[in-house]
Amino acid sequence: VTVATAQARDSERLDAGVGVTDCDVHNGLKTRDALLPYLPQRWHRQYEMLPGRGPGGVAIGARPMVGIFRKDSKPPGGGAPGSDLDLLREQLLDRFDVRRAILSPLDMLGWPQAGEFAHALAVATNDWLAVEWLDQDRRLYASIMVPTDDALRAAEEIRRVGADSRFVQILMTTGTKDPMGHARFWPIYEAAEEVGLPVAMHVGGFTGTLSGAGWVNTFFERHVGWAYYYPAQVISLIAGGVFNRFPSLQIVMEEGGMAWMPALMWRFDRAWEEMREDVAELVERPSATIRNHFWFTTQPMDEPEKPQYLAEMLEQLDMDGRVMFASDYPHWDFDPPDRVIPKTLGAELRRKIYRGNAETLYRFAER
Amino acid sequence: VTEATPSRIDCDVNCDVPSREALDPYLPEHWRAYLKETEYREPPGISYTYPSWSKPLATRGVTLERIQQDVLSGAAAAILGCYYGLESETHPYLARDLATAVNDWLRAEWLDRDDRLLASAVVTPQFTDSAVAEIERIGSDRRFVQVLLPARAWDPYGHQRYLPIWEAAARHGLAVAITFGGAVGSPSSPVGWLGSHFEEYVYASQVFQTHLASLIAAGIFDRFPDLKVVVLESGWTWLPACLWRMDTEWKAARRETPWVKELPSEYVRRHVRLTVQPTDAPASPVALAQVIEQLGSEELLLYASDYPHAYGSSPEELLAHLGDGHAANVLRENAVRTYALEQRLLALAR
Repeated sequence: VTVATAQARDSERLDAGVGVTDCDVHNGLKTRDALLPYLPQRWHRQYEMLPGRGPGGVAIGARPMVGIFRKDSKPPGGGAPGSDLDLLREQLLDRFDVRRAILSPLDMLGWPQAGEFAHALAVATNDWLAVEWLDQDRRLYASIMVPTDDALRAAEEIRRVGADSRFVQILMTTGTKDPMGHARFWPIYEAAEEVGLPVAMHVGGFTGTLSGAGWVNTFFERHVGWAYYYPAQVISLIAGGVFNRFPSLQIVMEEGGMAWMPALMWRFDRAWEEMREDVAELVERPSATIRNHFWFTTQPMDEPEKPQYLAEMLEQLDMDGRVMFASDYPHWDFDPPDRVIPKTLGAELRRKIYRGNAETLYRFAER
Repeated sequence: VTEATPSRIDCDVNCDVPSREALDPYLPEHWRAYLKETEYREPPGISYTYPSWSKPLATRGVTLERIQQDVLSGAAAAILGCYYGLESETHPYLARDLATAVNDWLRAEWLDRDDRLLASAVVTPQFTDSAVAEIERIGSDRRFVQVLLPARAWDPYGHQRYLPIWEAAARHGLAVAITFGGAVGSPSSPVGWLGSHFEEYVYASQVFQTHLASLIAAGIFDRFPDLKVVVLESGWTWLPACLWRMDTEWKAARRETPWVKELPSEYVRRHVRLTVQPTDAPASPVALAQVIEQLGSEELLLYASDYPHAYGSSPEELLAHLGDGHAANVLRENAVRTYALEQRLLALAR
């Protein structure tokens, strides 16, 4: 199959002419030294010392089966997967008619998330993103990388980069040392409102125990458990009163799936009806807050046992306007744009998921 | 649903130890004196799990007479659970002896006084040897139908440290119930301590998912093919999405656990049961019907009142949404099979 035929076939599988906005694409540093031109000299020794220094906690039990990248995503000319723009164009942008892609470099998510050095790393990463990626291809947009567990410094970086309209959101790691409703994170939300950008959360950051029952044994359990971070953050953001204080704040949940959300809303609403006197901040029905403030990206797309359950789940979720396509390129569990959102969901919803909802949130037309 | 002769089995009825002194007859002399001198009231897990100010969850002052009147008037049998917060008692020998005392108190004050009552045995999950000894001690009393473990735990229940507990339960044909709450020193979520009882309550269904994934990955259900695990008072509408995610992940990660031969959903449908009160139900009956169908089996749900916990809706509302055959299963047959009740009741009659 020639590339041209493959492209034609792939585009045909999508609804003709839709084009795709891919909200979760992971580019990366070609080599570790690639960041040095953007990092002040005084941090170079710290940068050499980076291996083994992470966001806190220790990722015991993180033992992926085949490495975390697609085998074919390693650039032929060397360097890390996702580090070569030409290959990214070939394997993702051109091949699947991706008109807009939001870059979230993975390197930063496993680095320290607090302190002056973490701040310097975020600044360097954002500058590298602007020069080496955003300046090179108009289809590319990026997340503002911040030291998630250091809100004052994160806010400073949000205000520095927020004026560059190619940066469309702020990226926090799902792994935080306190739940995101904690007041120590409020400077991030305040800055986000000020620059008018949503806050996305993505797997990464601090590694702790899983969901109130200690440490798990296997990669299977930990990977299943990546979904447990999101409900904790949703509950905390709402019960912590974050949206009372920052009413225009929007939160994007990346890489967490969404099938868990309907049941969480039913539980949250019931608890609100029966027990809300425990938390003064709970002023409205939680499902209403969720539907006004949260967004999902699709990868990893939930795979219900029967195809019709997917449509049922989306109907129960009742957030059609807040689900956005993501491929998670170049991860091993990459969701190809042509296969992930089934035609049975209907042309209109597919168009919203593939592009329209992201248009609404990120206002690309104004950028 | 009302019946002339009640046949339903109520799988989750709570009772509480009214005071520490109530356990005195069942405690060694040394502890009686020690607890009195130190003005010990109870393990901290009790008020952490069921705060006395909580209108729905407060569990105080339950009496046999109240249960006879409010529960047994409409049920053929009821399974009593007396969550006693033993996982939050750090002294290994005091915790052990409190477990024994609570189980003996359950026998003397409840099971001996009404033969429609069955019970869950409390144990100390954090002190495995003591838990096993306690299961051995009560295991021949057919009125104990299961071992009660709290959802919050130092490690997920598939961990090797708990294996002797599963072996002992299986040896005695006991189910293992995992119930809402519990107090341990590790954080309540992967991102640290949540800010309130309310938040932990809403988050609680995730904790069960950690245990289910752990039990499957550890091969507990492969080792003990007749074992049943019962999820108590923590909803069930979260289960379909949990099964989808586990099945997907297992397909990718299965080489890590070669002893796991089937899809996680198959293990769950064969081995895991969930009580129906409370049900975190969608407002739409259509959505509720969808979730009921997505369970993929009519054998999973067990009728329970969760007495005396007072939620906004009763289990009757859910029963009205089940087909007749499904409702009959939920009201009685699923419990009879889960707990081998016919054999138990026969044994008790002898």
